[in-house]
Amino acid sequence: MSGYWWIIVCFFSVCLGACHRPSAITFVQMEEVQLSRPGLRVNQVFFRDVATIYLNEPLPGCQIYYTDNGEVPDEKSQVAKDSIQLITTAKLRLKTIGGSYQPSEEVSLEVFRLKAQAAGIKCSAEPKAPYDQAEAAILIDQQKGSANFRDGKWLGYQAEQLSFDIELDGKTIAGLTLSVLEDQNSWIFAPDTVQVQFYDEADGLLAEGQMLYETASPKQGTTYRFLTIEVGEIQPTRATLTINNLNAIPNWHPGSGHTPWLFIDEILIR
Amino acid sequence: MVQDRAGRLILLTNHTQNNVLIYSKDGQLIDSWGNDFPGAHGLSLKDEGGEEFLYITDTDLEVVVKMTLDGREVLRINNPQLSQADGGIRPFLPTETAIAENGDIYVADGYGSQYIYVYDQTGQLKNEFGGHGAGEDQFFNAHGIAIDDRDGKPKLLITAREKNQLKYFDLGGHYLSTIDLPGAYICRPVIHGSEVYLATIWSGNKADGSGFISILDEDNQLVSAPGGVEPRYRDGKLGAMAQAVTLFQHPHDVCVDDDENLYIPQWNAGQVYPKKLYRV
Repeated sequence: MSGYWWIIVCFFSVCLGACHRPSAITFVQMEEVQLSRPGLRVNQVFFRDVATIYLNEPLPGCQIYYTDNGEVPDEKSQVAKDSIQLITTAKLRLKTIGGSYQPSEEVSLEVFRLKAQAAGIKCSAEPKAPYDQAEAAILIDQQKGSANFRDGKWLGYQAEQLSFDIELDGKTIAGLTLSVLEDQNSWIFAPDTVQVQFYDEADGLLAEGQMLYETASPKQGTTYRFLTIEVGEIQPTRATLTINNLNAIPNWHPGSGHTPWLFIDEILIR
Repeated sequence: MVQDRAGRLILLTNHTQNNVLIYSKDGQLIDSWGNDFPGAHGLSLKDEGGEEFLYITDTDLEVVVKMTLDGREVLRINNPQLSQADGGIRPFLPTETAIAENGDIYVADGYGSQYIYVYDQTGQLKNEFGGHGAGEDQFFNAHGIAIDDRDGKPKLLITAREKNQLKYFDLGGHYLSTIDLPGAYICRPVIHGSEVYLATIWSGNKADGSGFISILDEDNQLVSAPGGVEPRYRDGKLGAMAQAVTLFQHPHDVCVDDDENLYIPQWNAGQVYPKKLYRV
């Protein structure tokens, strides 16, 4: 906020006298104003060598603080300058703090270092038009879709349950991450539950896991969601992934009662 | 929101209980009228031979209506019913108007066909240009329009919101140039003195509530962004803009009064009153 300056006040404050800043007006104070969430951009959410996260410059007197250990960032956390480089899979939590303003809301970001890759995939249900213009193979191509779900890197489904059969190469893995989009304004909801079973060559069950996600509560904006199930180190040749979705959009939403969309861009083997 | 010659602030809403609310500068309600504009969107004021008129666009009714300041309809422009390539009728969801000194009415069809339509003062269609597309003379959301005569040579200054740009055209509809405002999803340009004021409804990745205000100087450089990050130019190019503090949610217009205070009406902001920035 530079160059020309104005002072903000609610429209219905009483203006007395003829000067520009009547004394009877209560102006908004810095302490009452919340900083905006850190603006960031990552070059590759799925990366092989290095992921670089570029950060918007905060206001003078403010800093962007972040953690990579799951703790809430505060003024004792690491300070981010211009960019952050990561060489391992990580989940960051970031906040802007300082300048007598109220701290910003938190932003979180996950990046994934690519290692294993699925060899093939089949789904029990077909994606639904118009979001069916790509082959199921895009779900294991290790390419991240953009926030624009029409970019051809997403498949859109409307089904209460989906099941995927995933071919693996028998190398050591540790779990699976389902990458979905959450954009409730566009009637796109994340799954309610995700279940996975891993099998060996003799079709013996090696490991299984489940993740529950609170998808029915209101959430703002367009967000990538990474739903991860860790199972420990195993060497499977096949996996079955079952995704359970809401059967209807919740009552609080303008689309209440309609079938929600599920958008998937990738199934990552960890 | 506009200010009339008497100093009153005239606010357009899409609530059919009070489409037009008229305030004093200290926020006292003076008058209200209008129950007929469920999709009221754009409001322009023009002094025509000593009498001031309001031009209202309605995206639900698909009309532009010229009104007196006390709410009497003078002229109505309906959907021109022009054909598009597939043989259907072009949508007509006008978002803003600009009125030339000769009385010509420039209509930005920002939520519709993305054409700019030019009508004479009697409402006869004279010209069209623009349209939807990636070309430098085309638009993705031609949300606002103004006549910029700051250099004594009137030109059209038109919003291309989804491109984060303003575009200059001559009054005949010929493309002239573009101003890049990366990261700024702007509403209409409001020209006051030597500056251009722009409500910026979203920024960055278009996250909800990420708006701020953009102010360009006489050289069309972004010199101030209340609520936004500090504008930075490098090699003549503006860096990406974003919200810095949550002063505003979705600013939708800027009104500059005769003391150069700013009033910021918003869209989808919890039905708050416009916020006022006092000049210091």
